[in-house]
Amino acid sequence: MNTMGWFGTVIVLALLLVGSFSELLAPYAEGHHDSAQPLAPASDDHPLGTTEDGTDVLSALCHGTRVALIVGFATVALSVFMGTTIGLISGYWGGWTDEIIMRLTEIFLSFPGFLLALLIVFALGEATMLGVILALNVTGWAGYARLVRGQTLVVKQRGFVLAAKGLGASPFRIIRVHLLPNILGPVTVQATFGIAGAILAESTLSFLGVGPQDVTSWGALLDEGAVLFLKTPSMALASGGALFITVLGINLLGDSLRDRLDPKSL
Amino acid sequence: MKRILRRLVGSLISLVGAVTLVFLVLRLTPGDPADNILGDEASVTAKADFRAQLRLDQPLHVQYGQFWSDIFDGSLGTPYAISDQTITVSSVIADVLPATIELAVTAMIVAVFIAIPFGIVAAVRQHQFLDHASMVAALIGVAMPVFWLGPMLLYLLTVKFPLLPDPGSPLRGPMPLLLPALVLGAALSGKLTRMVRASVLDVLREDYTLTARAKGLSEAKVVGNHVLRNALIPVLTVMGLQLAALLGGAIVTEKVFARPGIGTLLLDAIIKRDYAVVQGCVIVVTVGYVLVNLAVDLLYITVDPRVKEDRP
Repeated sequence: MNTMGWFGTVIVLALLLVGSFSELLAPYAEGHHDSAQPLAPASDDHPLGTTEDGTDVLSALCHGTRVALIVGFATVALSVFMGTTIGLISGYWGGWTDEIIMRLTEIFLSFPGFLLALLIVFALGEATMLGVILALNVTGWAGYARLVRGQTLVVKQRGFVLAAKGLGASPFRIIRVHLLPNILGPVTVQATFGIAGAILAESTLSFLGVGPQDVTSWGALLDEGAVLFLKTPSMALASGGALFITVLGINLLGDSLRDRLDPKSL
Repeated sequence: MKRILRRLVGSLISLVGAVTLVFLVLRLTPGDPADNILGDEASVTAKADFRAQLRLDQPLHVQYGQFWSDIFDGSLGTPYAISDQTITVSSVIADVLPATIELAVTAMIVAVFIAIPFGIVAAVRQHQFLDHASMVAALIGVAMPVFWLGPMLLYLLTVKFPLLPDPGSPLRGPMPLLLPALVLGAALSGKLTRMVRASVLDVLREDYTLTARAKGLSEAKVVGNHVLRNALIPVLTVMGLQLAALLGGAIVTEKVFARPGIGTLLLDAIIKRDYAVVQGCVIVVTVGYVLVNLAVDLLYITVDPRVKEDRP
């Protein structure tokens, strides 16, 4: 792995650490308000100051890390599972199955995904974290389905797959033992970038005021911080910085994974 | 010709599918849409009005038929908040759409002016200082959220280095367009720069580039005449696909700079719970996205003779 790749790995590991132990690391528990100190500047009690309702900014950042990671990983895990299953079926069986599935996939791909997520979250009324994850999945799976289908079409023509077929292996066994392991590289690479994309999408929804209302989100903190930038720049700087470093770290890791697992693609 | 026709039919199917998806989102979301969208506090009459306006009290196929008739008569329905029947959703959108198109086009021009020179220089000087510097800058661009860059830039330009009037006053002159376009364009240029670099690198390895060099052409001529013409074709497609990011970014940018446009209209309609306007905005943006990508594909077929021959 190159220097940039290591740099990305360190960032991602640090985020995982903060996210996993946010309850221990955050100075205050989630939902704690110090209503006597709204918009307090940085102090010993509140190293990064407080928000308008007296929430400690550093604590909100820690709790937000966990939310960002859960949304990122859960969205991508679900999208990869759905997309891979659909892509494998489409690519392996071909014919009409393929034609119908790919037409449907095209429709979902022709949609600006973020906008559909925005619409779904709006239709749900009060958005929750689960609602946002599901909304991002409605179009999220389609990219993986197209990628997996393309890879399946290539791999299924290779000698070892034809040999397995000739020896009478069942379609399920061929997919599980021969196809799946050989298409995982590009999927892993795309999934890594997908995590960054999902985290950014959730923060954007929160920034626009339609993100999950049940948890602390960096985007919501940034929304409040942007309005109060002149009074307390630390809120926007810290939450935006956390988001920037997260997306940067994941992208660096993704670039380095791509060089290793999928050298042919861009 | 066959290819163009196939692409047209494909786009039409995508368009109908995507618009149908918008219709289904409200109807298939769990719970009563009137309860979800208006909230528990809303009065019974308000909820009944809401259902009547969106025809939620009628069978699904009737709703679907009327949904399309609203699209075909060009009205996209009537805004919930306005009692004046002459004002339609499409007229409300038409008022603000030019501002968004202006922002999106200017931002795309900014992105192209950053991405093409930096991408080319990075590829031609691969593994050298300029390449590394461009790629680090591009990566920062990819990771930098528009809604972080925007407020920081406003702060820098109004408070730290007061090139602009104080932040409270409205922006004047070309600034209302330039500043948002710069922020959005810069954010977009990251991915585009990486794409230009990769594409130029691919073409630099082609046999015809080797031939051009072997003929004794200068490096400037090789890059200018042979490499660029071929390398920029795939970049065109990426620009079309980036339009989705551009539209998402435009909504956010409009909010950051309090600029009128379809994003501001959409967010305002979300706050007012005006479903007809929200739905209309989403339909207009989606149709625009599909059509621009279709235009890019058709352009692609015209500029690249290899695509025209129907090769796989």
